[in-house]
Amino acid sequence: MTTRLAWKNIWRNKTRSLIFIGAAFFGLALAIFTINLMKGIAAQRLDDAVSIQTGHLQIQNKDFNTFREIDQYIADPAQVRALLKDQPQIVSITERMVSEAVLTTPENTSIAQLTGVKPEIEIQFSALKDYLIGGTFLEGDLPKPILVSKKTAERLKLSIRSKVIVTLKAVSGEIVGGAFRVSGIFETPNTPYDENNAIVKYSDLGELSGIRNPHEIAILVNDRMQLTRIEGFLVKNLPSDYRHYSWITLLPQLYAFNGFTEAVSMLFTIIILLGLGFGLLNTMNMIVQERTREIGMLRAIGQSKWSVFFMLVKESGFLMFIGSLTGILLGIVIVNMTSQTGVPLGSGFALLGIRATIYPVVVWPMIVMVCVLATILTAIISVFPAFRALRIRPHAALRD
Amino acid sequence: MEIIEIRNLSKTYNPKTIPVHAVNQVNLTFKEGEFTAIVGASGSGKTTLLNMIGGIDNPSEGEVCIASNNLTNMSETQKTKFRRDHIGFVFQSYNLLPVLTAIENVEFIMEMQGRPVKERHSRSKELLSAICLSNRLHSRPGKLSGGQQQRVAVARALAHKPKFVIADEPTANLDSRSTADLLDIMVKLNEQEGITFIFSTHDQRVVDRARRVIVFEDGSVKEDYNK
Repeated sequence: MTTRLAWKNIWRNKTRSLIFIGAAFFGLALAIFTINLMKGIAAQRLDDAVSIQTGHLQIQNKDFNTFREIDQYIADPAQVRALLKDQPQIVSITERMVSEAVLTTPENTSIAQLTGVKPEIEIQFSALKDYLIGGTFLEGDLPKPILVSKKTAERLKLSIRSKVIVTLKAVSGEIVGGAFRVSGIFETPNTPYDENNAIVKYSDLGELSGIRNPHEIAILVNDRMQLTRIEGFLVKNLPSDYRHYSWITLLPQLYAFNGFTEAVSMLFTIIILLGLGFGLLNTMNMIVQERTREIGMLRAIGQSKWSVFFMLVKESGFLMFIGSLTGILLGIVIVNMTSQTGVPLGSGFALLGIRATIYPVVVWPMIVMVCVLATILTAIISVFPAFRALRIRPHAALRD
Repeated sequence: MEIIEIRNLSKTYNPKTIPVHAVNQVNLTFKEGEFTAIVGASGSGKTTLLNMIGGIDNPSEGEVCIASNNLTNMSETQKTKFRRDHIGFVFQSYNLLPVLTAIENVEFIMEMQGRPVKERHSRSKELLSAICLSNRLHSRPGKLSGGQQQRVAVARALAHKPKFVIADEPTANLDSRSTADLLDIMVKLNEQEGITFIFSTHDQRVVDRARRVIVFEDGSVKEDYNK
């Protein structure tokens, strides 16, 4: 009975109810969209960084991550490869050689981290090929090809097939140099990466620096949730000369950024929910105020206190439920649509490593959490006006 | 047979500051089937007395017994249930639920009691037919005239077959024609169903139709006579 009455009551003042429902509808649609857009940004940054830079996991010489010396390479990469061979979660492995280098042209000089890659493997592993804006990925007939970013190319006034002198410290301790030709120019959404990196063939860097072994073995897995399991395996089985690092250790800023985006989107959602909560409190207080006489009458003719209480709680619940449920559904629909078409953000966020077009990701646990928060909030908020109604004395209400 | 017994009933507002004795040492009894009008000027204490008889206000002193149940000793919850099951209320400003239709308003108390739908429906139809509103079963109060709304309120008060009906100035907002119609209906229902009616009023037309008149002045019974 109270349910039916509560349902009818919310439509007594259609304008007021629709204003609140509309606020909940748009507020929660926006919250769901924002949460999933932020998640999409975080996922895109992570995917790019993991694919182009670190992989989900890396195995290195135990000292390399600290000192980054050219002679701190993996002494027996075959042993590591054999160890990883039977891990089903691993989808791709690549070996890279890394050295600090100076790139010089007649016009300018630039410092970069030079990464030596095996093109036929790297092209499967890394998304860098997707960001080529000219030339090829270390392929073709050029001797000693090099990939440079658009920013580096501009600074050094390089174009495809241009010559650039690469100078670095060889394993012998000598400063060595070699002439490379630009085979491709890339532009990733990650500006800091672009400003500091150049790519050459593994064999060419090895020849120049005098080493044959990789500094890092990067690993991609099919599910990030499986990282802990693989790390557990490596803790037990990796020889003590090597260390493994997850992307969280290698990219602490990205990890912090992802945590920050999640916190911000959650905070944004909580602010929206609090706004709705105060709106609901105000609406329900007005309802109790306006219906004091009616509530007094209901109590007089025999409706129990708690029946009145739950009738008002249900009214709050209906208002919030209609608005939030439809809003959340709209949010999910928008996220689903934009996860196909993308959301154009423009290139203004490239400094943060954010692409011009972001594809939101549907994050069900967050959506469920929003639903749970909305329900808890409604339950808490609805109690106050309902308690106020409990204090209405029938004879006083009817007299007024 | 006596259905209501009021002993030494008093109600004092602001007892600690400036005491106002709204009802002062009232002793009364009401018999089953009576049709009583309590008359008096505004502020004489009629409504306070009715509220205490109906258990929606607590006396400062004295007691109200209804069919051997001492209302004064009951908890709020017991009183609420007692009101729901044994008392009918008619208010000056009708106080129908605007979101329910006429028949739903009449059914409301029976629904609270948990009576079966079929019983509720047939009783409500019967009552609405008795008050000549069988053609307005599904009209909401906003679509009914004041007189029609008050008739629906009477039907609601009678629907659960209470021991008695308390009506506080039921005709105060009605025109002559509606007042006459409402009184006809209440007299008819009083006679047909044997339900006790107690009114507060200062409407002479109601007093004329009452069989017992209690004149109230300054919170006390000044006159009490049968016609």
